[in-house]
Amino acid sequence: MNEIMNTMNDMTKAEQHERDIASSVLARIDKEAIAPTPRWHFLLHDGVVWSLGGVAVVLGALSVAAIIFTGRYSDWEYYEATHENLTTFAFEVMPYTWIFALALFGGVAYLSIRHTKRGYRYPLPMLLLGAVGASTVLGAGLYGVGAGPLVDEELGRAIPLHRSLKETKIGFWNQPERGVIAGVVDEIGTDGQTVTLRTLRGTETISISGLDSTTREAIEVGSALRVLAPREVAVPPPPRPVAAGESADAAFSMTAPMTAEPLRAKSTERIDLEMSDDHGGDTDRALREACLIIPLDWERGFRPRDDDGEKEDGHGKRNDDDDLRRKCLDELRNERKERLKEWRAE
Amino acid sequence: MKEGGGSARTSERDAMDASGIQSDVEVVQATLAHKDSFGELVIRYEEKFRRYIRRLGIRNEEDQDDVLQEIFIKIYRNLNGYDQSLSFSSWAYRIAHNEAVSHHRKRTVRPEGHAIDDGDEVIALSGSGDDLMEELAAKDDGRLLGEALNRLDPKYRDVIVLRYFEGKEYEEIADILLMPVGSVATRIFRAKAALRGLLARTLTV
Repeated sequence: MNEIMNTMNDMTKAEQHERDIASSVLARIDKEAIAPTPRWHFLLHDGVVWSLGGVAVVLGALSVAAIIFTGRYSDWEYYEATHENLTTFAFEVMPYTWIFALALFGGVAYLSIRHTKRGYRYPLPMLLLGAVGASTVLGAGLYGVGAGPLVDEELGRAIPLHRSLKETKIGFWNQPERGVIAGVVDEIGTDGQTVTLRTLRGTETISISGLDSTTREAIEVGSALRVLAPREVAVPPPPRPVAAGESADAAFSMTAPMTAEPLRAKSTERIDLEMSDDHGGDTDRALREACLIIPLDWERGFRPRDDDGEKEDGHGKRNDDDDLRRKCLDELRNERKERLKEWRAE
Repeated sequence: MKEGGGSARTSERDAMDASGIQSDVEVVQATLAHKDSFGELVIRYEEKFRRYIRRLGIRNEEDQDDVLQEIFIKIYRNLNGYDQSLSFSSWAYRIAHNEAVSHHRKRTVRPEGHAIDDGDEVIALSGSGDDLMEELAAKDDGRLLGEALNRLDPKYRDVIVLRYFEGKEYEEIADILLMPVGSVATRIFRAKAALRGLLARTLTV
């Protein structure tokens, strides 16, 4: 009987304690005039979190567009001419800025989704893959509408230390000593067998006598070109004809043949790069003979023309171009091997 | 290990039951209309939360009262943020858990020890077919388990307490600790292994 009474007393005490806590909580709510935080506050929080996630996915998509653009137009097919090997080439053209940006915005998107009401229920890999996947799909779409070069050039300009693909390529296509030259045609020799290119490092006179007549005729003053010229030619450069175009001191501007045959200047774009101080200082360089000339499109981020080689007879001409490129690259490689052998012998 | 043990104990009155008792959600709605209804929620959860925070290491009764008051004030403040697609109990336990952790941080001391005062709970925890746990249960020694829990990494202790002492389902634990359900399962598995290791060392001494 006593046990039952004690148990009942304990229960009553516990119930009393519960009521005490309830009373003290309600008293404190009254005393401190505590009120539930308004609903709009939570809705705003949700809105901010989702918006932040959305913005991060879009910014990640812009990065993806730039990555695709860089990957596609980095001129990997000429890496044997421009670099020692594929590794050095890959290190140089790697779009570090955009890869870092994608990782950063992927992380921000992950954190945003993680802080939504149900975001915690999904594992990290799933959220990260989801965020980066959404950026990739959207980025591919943005690339399709031409956002890639715009992002890499225009948006990239606002990012410190960013080096656009165009700037990178201007760098590695200016190695005349390796037979790799890019520039604007300044003069065409009177005999039509040589062209003088204005490059970032000065002027280069190149023999084009080894090229077929169609290609030679397509070259005009003002055309922007990339040239592979493995061989040094023994003959001195022909006398300079009357100079055409602007003075050498003018800012470096190039024209961009888009789709036309012959390689005709269509528009002029000012490149935000200054000529080097040694402009014109390399004119004594031995004459080089071009084995391949590739049109250069500054406006579209150094891209080759989309219809290059496929316009007239589909893939057949593309194969011809590939053969020509292969042959020229082999020649370039053999030339280097020879020079290396000579250097070792000395 | 016993699965789902005690889920009935923690099944909430989120839906109106046959006896006409208001569900938690209804009490929340009533509270938003008139604050006095909040007393009903306090009465419903006071004992559960007191037991829970005691298991998380807050043993001093005055501290428990203070922490409980803070828990209920936070619940009241955030009532408009309660997502009704979630169990009210899980949402409220999340606040209780965060408040207990916050209390420990403020004290910057280790928890004062874990109150393991329910023989059934020890048996429940040991009902895994694990020899070591059975040996422990046979010794009828909740004190050893309490000491082992006290030394257990807090992230493991949290899941052990919620799963085997509060009787929560994996999804509820996920909602309380804000983690994926898969991670809850993994953490429980690791927690049991860690606890087993601690108990083995205790028993061999």
